[in-house]
Parts: sequence; C-alpha cells; structure tokens
Amino acid sequence: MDVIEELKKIISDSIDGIDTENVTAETSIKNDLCLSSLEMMMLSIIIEDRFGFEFKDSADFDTVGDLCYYIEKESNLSEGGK
Amino acid sequence: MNSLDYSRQNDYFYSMLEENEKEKLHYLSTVPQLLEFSKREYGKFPALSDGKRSVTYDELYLRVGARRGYLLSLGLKKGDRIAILSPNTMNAMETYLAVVTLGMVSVILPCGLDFSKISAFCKKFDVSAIMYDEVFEATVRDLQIPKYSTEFRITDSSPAADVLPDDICSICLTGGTTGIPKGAVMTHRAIMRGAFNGCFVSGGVLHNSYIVLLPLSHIFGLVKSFLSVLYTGGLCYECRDVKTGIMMIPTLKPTTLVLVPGMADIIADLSIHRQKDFSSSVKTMIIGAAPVTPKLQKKLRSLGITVFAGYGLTEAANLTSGNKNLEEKPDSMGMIYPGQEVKIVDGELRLKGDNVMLGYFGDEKATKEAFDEDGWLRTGDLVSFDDDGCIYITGRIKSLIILSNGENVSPEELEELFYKYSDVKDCLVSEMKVGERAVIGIEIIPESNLLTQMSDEELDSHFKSISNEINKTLPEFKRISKVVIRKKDFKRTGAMKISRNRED
Repeated sequence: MDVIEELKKIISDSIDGIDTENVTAETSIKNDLCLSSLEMMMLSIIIEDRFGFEFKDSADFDTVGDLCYYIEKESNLSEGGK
Repeated sequence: MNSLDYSRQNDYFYSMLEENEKEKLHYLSTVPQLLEFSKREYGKFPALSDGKRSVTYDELYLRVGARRGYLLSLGLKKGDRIAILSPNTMNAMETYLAVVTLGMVSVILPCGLDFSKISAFCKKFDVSAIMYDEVFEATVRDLQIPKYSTEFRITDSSPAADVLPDDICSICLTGGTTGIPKGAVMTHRAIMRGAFNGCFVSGGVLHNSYIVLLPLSHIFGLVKSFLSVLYTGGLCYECRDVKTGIMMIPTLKPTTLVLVPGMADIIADLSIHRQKDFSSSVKTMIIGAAPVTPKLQKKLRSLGITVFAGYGLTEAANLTSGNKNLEEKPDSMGMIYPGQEVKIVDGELRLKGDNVMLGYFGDEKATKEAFDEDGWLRTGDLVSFDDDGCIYITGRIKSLIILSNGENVSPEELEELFYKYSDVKDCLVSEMKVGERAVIGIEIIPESNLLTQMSDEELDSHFKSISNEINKTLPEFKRISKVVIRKKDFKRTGAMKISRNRED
C-alpha cells in the first residue's frame, strides 16, 4: 500500500480547501498544509480508523513523510500488515 | 445614541420554551440557589457522569457539601481565590460548585498552559490555593502555593455560605478586545444571568444530555455546557480532551452539544464522509464564540441537527444574543437576551445589565478602557439591528482575528514578537487564505540591506525560520501559518501607522 497516496486522499476528502496534488513526503504539515489543531485532531481520528491503530499522546510530526513513517510503524504496514 | 425596543425580547425567547418549562425556569441570582433548585426539581435525575458511573442531583448536592467541608478543613475561607487546573471531569465540576457555594472565587485555568504561565496566573490573581487533576501533578509540583488534588474525599459536610448576588463568583480569563489574557471579575448575579439565558433552547430544554467538550476555563463552556445544564436537569458527561469526547459521541449518545464552529464542522464531516454515527442522537448544537458559516449550517441541517447560534463576550457572562431561527436569518446573531440593556454609539454595541463584569482583576487601566463614561461595557463590535430587532455584526473596532475554534488572536501582540528581530522592518498580521482556508499570516517588509543581500528564496527561508522560532513560544491557535515577504510599503493612515484596511 502506498501510505502517502492514501494519506493524501484522506486529507483531500476530509478537509475543505486543501489541494494535495503537490504534497510530497517533504511537505510540512504545519507550515505548508497549515492544519489547525482541530483539523489535525479530525485527521488523527480518520487515520486511526483507516489504519487500525491509536496515536500515542506524545506523537508529533513535522512532515507528511514523518507521519507516513509513523503510520507504517504503528500499523505494522512496513512488516507486511494490512 | 440608539437604544433598543426591548418589548420583543421576552416573547422571542419564552416562545422557545414549552409551558412546563416556563413554569419551572426562573432567574436565580446565586449558584447556591441553583444547587438547591436543581436538587429540589431534579433530585433523582442523573447530573454528572464519566460514562461508567453517574451521580444524581441528590448525590451531587451531598458530594458538593462534602467538598465544601474539605475546603474549609484546609483553612480556606470565603473570599479566597482558588485556581482550578483540570480537564472537564466530574471532580472539576464538583470542585467548582464547592468553591463558589462557599463564597470563594474560582479561577479556572486553561489546561494547555505550561508551568511558567500557570505560576504567572496564580500570582496575577493572588490565588490562595490550586486544585488540580492528577494529570497535572508534575506541572504544579513547584508552584509556591498550597496545592490540592480534585479527587473526592469523604469528609464532614458543610452547608453553603451566605452568598449574595453581588458577591464575586468567578474570575474568567479572556483576551478582552486585544487578545492579551485578563481576568473578568464576575458576580454570582452575572454568572447566573448567563446560565439562565442559556436555558432558552427550543425543542425541549429539560433533561438533555451533553458531553462537556468546551473547556470550563472558557465562559461559554462554564455557563452554557455546565451551569445551564444544571438549571435544566440535564446530564453532563465529563470530557478529558476534545478528541476523546468526540469519539465517545456514538457511545454516550448526547442529545445536545455546545461547541465552537470548528468542532461542529469536524463532527459533521465525520458523520457525512465517514458514515459513522457521530450525530444521530444529537438534536441540537449550540454554537458560539465565532460565526456559523452558511456552509456549516447547511451541513448540520442535512444531518437533522437544529443549530442555535449566539453572540456574547466573557465580560457579559457569555450570552448577549441568540438566534433561534438561522434558516430565516442566517447572518444574524439573533435577539438580545432578557436582562440586558444595549445601546449603539458610533456603530459600536455597548451593554449594561446583570450579566456584565465588575472589571478586570488588578487592571484598572484595562477596566477603565472597557467601559464608557456612563458605565456601559464597550464590546468593540460594530452592529446593526433589523426591523425585527435582530442584531448583525458588521465589523470590529479592534483588530482581533476571531478563529473558528472561538479563540481570539491579537495581530498587534504577534507583530510585537516579530519586531524584536532587527531583520523585520515592518510587518502586519492578518487572516489570510490558503486555498479556501483561513489561517493567520504575516506580511513582512525586510530591512533594506537584506533585500540586496538575499535572493527571494533566501528571504523566504530566513523569515520562515524566524516565524518557526516565534511559533514555538506560542499556543497552537496563535501560530503564524503563512509568511509573505513584501517589498512594497503598506498602505498607511494619516498618522503613518500601517492601515489594517486591506485594500492594497
């Protein structure tokens, strides 16, 4: 599974007004996507549901790539999980 | 000067209530009276719950009595200011009631503060003690004031103190009209006017259930999603954080939610796009602190949710006006609530009434600026009224940015932080669009030497780096999301100040 493409789809489906066409692993979640804390919270709910894990309270990400890496690790995708 | 014809207020709001509700609900002027009333009227009904266990109004009354006994055993006394630092737990709600029914003054602090800010607020408001939830044990450890957990202890009960309506009840934090936190001093009379006005909801106001999503440190949360709920025999589900609270909606099935627009948007989107049941139990959303856009109104209507929108200020105990019919008047903030007088001076709405604060704690200058020479509270909002007496916000005198999460951001406060960097010649913070989304942005004119020394990319990177440094010192909602480098001067006023009128 291409986590970054899945993530881009989740973001564009869930948050009005975000164009994810040019989003890459280097895209900054806070500075480039300009997501508010409420929007991040909503995304985290959808991501948890989609990938079957829960974010730890300490989880923090700068880039989309960091977030994808976290998702892969927590949902065991990198080990051939779902 | 204009003043309003008040004759339509009572009709507008009382027509929302059913006959039995009109008979039951009357203005009470102190929180002890509210506690007595709710025990008498709703005794066996559930009052507070954590989703697993709940306490009835009878039990709440007894528990608050025991908590009063505990507070007195600590040597605390009437008039003491008591800080409360806790998520929206049953313990926090009971602690609040115990504090204010003893004639002590609550100072509920926002949960996101670090030690230095908590310490500064405790000093600013000269608190005698802090009551804290266990999650903040490490945060408060080094505070140099008595610290006590909000955990319940079985102690001898104590009756409520002889509290008068004009006794101080709570100091409520607010940005005021400039975004710099101040403490609005609210009497019991004021807080209770807000709580009573919060009872006017259509579709049946008694015995609804709420998840207390908004922080109790914000007056909207304290008054509308807690005290008004006690007034109407409702059930408050505790909420340790917003995400968990929202995730519990399908399980707890609240009938009513009190929210800011940003939260309502999330719940609506989760329901519509994720086909999860985040909304079928919810019949009403009471939304305030920021405008409810037509798009959000439509989304919520499509889910069968009635939206009640309102306008208010911390300084006026939250509820100044309420719109019971957004479909008919989607841009209006509704009718002025009973118990208030209003006037318009040079387009600005000014208020008088039971609900208005005494002033800002320890800040004579800000208090003086908050009221005009005749004692009317200046709202800083420009308004107009239609022929039905409904109010419309047409602008702001002050330059606050109002976010969809209800937070207010002062552009001047943020600009000051950038001016500390010598590379910044001039700057202007404003609300900007990223795609269709509104974010806080800054336009920066660099010092002239940098314009010759750096390429456009280097300038962009340099000032984004400065912005990131500043953002690290700010709470999330105040952070700058967009940095625009500007080479042309800003439009200026006659006094050569940067004009905030964005026509250039």
